[in-house]
Amino acid sequence: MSETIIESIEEYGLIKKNKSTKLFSKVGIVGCGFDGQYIARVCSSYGLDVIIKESSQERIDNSIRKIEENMDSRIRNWGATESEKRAVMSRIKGTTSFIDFKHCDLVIETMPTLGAGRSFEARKQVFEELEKVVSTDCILATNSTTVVISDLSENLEYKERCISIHFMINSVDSRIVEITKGLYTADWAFEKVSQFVHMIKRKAIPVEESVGLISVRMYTVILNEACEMVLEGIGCKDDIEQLMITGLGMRQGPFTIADIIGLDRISRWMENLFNEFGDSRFKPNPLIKRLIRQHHFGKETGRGFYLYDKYGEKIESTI
Amino acid sequence: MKILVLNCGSSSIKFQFFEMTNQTVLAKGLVDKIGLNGSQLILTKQDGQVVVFQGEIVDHKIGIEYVLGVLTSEKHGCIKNLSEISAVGHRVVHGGEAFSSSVLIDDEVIAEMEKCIELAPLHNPPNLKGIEAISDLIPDMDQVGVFDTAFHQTMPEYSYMYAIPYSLYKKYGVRRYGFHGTSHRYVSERACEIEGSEFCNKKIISCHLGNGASVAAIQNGQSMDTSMGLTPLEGLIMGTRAGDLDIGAALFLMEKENIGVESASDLFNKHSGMLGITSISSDLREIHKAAHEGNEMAQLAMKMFDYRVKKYIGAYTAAMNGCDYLIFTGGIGENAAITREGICKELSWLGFDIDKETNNKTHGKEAVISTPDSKVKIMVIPTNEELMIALDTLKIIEKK
Amino acid sequence: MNILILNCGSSSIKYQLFKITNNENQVLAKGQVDRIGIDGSNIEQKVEGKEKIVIEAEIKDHTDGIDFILKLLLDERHKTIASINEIDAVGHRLVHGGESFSEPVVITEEVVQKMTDLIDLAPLHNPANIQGIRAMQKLLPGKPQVGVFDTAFHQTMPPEAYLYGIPYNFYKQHGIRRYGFHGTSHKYVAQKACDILGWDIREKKIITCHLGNGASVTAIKGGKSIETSMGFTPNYGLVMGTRSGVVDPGIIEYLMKKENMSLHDVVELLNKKSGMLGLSDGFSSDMRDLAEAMDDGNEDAKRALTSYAHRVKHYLGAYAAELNGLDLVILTGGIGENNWQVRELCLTDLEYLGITFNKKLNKGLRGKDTKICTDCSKVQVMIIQTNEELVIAKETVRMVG
Repeated sequence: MSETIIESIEEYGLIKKNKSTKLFSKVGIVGCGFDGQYIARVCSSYGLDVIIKESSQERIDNSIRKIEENMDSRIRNWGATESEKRAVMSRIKGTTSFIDFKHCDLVIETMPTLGAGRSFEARKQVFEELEKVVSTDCILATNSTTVVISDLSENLEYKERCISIHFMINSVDSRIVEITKGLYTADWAFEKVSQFVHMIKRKAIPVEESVGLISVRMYTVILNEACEMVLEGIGCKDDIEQLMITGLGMRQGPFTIADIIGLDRISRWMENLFNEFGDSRFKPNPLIKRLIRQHHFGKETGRGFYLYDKYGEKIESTI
Repeated sequence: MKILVLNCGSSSIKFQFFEMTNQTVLAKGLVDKIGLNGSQLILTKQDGQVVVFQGEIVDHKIGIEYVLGVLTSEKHGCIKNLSEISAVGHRVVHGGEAFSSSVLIDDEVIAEMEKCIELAPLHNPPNLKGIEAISDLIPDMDQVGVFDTAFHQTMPEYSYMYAIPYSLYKKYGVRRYGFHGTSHRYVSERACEIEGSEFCNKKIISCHLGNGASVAAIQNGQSMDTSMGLTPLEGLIMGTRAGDLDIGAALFLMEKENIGVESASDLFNKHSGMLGITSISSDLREIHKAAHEGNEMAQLAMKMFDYRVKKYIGAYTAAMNGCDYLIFTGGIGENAAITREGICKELSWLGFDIDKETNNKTHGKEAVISTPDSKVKIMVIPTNEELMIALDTLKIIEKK
Repeated sequence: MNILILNCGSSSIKYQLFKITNNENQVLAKGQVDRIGIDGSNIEQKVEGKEKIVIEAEIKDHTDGIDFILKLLLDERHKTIASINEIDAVGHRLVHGGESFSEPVVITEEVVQKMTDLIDLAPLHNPANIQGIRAMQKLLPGKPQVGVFDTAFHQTMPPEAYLYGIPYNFYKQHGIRRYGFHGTSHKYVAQKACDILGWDIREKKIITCHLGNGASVTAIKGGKSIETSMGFTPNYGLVMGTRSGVVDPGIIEYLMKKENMSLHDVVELLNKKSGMLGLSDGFSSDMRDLAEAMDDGNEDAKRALTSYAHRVKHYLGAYAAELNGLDLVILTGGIGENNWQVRELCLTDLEYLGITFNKKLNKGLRGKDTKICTDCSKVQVMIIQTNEELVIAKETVRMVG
């Protein structure tokens, strides 16, 4: 048989027109902590190239190792294969420089949240750096919940491509994201992001621009209230969890979720929410503060509301 | 008369273009990775020349547009004008209880098909997209829908009912539908044609073993039982699907692993089956290779696969009180002699005697692989769903 | 030897007292404690040739229940035994032995520990079984106790039969596999039929159908179970009174989304609202009612019964294929032993498998060990009455004797 011919398809459309929609092929991630690793893995497993930026090579290596560990656990428990892992890993590259984001279709900033709005300036700077290298239709997004996208993008030249995409990471079933349009966000940017979310098989929930979105604002109050009840002796931790799970139909109880997300992070969310709304229900409960002071941040540190073994399996209650 | 056959999947479109006067394939191919990075159209021309067209294919409509563009192109096409296409036949996965045979597509049919989306949320929407795209691109084109479930609509009530509250059947149509109907129909009719026997008085068991796999019992020219059920998950162990599974075990796992319905559905549809057992691959060829090299899990998985098929063959032999032909088809059924042997060995008591030598020599071609004195004729018949769809399409537009 | 056999459920205890000698097995008394821990708890005991005794009393737990049993056995009116010391050993019917037990065992702390480890797999049954053992240890200290597991006989299944097509890790981690149940019954009737026919069970291929409230089919080769229709839980395989048996696992997603059901609801639906009750659109789960209604032309009953029979036929064919041969089909269990209509539906039109059913012999037959095939049938078909308690009693004697 004669050799395979390879051609470009553009010549063969019935109607010669300019096709404006562009496909996603490359996603950039700035700051590759827990969320960043999760987003990188998800994007890569749906066939997208991913580039992650961290401040040092060491941190890049660390992030990539964590993603690998996660894939290993998926192989152990979910019938993922070594070849899937290889494919996922092969699409993820690391960098320490913004230049490598040049050909990205979407860049998501997932830098750590600092309390009292301290991360705001850092994020803003990232957006400005990004604008220097990416093309004008590249979407710039933040995964942050407590920073408002309109504020983040106000100094940019092409503000209309900025948007907020918040991923939920606490369980394999949390296949849902919150998307927020800012003041300047264009419809096409929203459409494009919706298409991206659809591509990685998530459900998109549109949320109006507001600190904490729906998820964080709701969850922080639930957790605070749950802690309060423990302190008041109204119910013990396990019973509250059980009631939320069986009674209210939540998949995980508030304390378990807290340990997965990390108490350090939650307390910063709370601080930012308190600054925004001035409502004391957002102030971190003393129980949370106590654990943070002891550096018991949750699963990541092996101890939070619960104690964990080295595989991240819950061992027992700690309070 | 020329007929285009389309099979639209969630991110791919398979097409074949037939000249019906002599049933030849003028062109065939695949649009791959629709909406994804690396999307392309692969065309195989009548002379066997393969052409790969690379570029952005954002959705099904654009994919179909390119298919039509390529077919009419001067360089690689086989027709000059779209008007040379007499009709388009679509493979549609789920026809529910509304369709027991192929139909000419009109608004009413589309409305019925939309109702079936709930039963096949993954498959029916892309099928509908394909139909819509053709209507947009070539208005007034005759389109025919050929349903995967239609052939099994003749199953008797005692075969298709689950033992769950009857109201669930009446309210939501929870029952066994079965799939691969076009393939089962094609190979069983073909077997009778080859043997020169009357289709309507033979008892036939057909095993469509591919990435998806199902067994059907065919009596009096009608499907009377099949192994896939409400969804294509039930029955045999497949590439990545679990097949028959104790619901209690499924629910136990959901609770233990703290996963919701969607993850569970993913688990049983995408991470189970041959892939889940072996952690090697969902591709039987790779599993055969590993088994050959001594991988124990691969050996076990192969045994499990064969074992499950064997059980269905026995069950359907009992249900029909006999069997005249046993047919193997689908990628595995047509090519994997070792699997056919694994299934048929030690089945002589029921009248199945496989001829090992003939079996070993048979790859992807029509052949009888049983011994001359085997009570049941065991046959390999490559399936040809596309041709079946083209023939159905032709029949319907000629009647019009 | 006098052996007390106990079958402890979550709120009931069934018991029989056997006198086992070399040439005779005699039931001295049998009875049942009901509604343990529930208002209206009672105990009744029957002894052949005597009036039955019923006592209503507050029975708080299994220990209370067994205490009453021992008292009743000593009751003047029945005069079963004069002292509890006449009970030589206790045999327990135990449900789930997981992969740990393939034989009857003398119960030790280790056995109880293993049963405790398996509670996850049988959350309803194993705790009740353990309570029964504990109560006995307290009330008859020092008496040997023997346990016979429902799953034990099926431990000989090969992996291709007991594994599901899901990631192998779930088997290793959570023990998800097919266990099968009714083992004691399948084993007993197969042996009994061979005894009647003068056969050596090791040379025969047998399919046993235990059709009762729960129902299962087992393929037996060389005297060993090579496959059975129940699975990880007893709700797999055949259609049962209120259990669905095999369904598409895809149904879970469908029901949970459509009907907005929880996991618990789905379990309930498939175990308690399905089966014959569901198929007959709520008409009945009782085979006698259904058979009668079908004769009167009731479509709901017909649908249920034909579906039931179709499923039984599936298994007969599947197991004949697995065994690559068949010498004997046995029917047992409440329905198999007593309902001739159901037997007829399940066993006619199977000549290809060598089964020629004798409708005349079968009609009206109940509660008798006998053949129901024609003389020229290649495969023998028999009704055998199961007697799990007797098997347990004999095993107990064998283990402690």
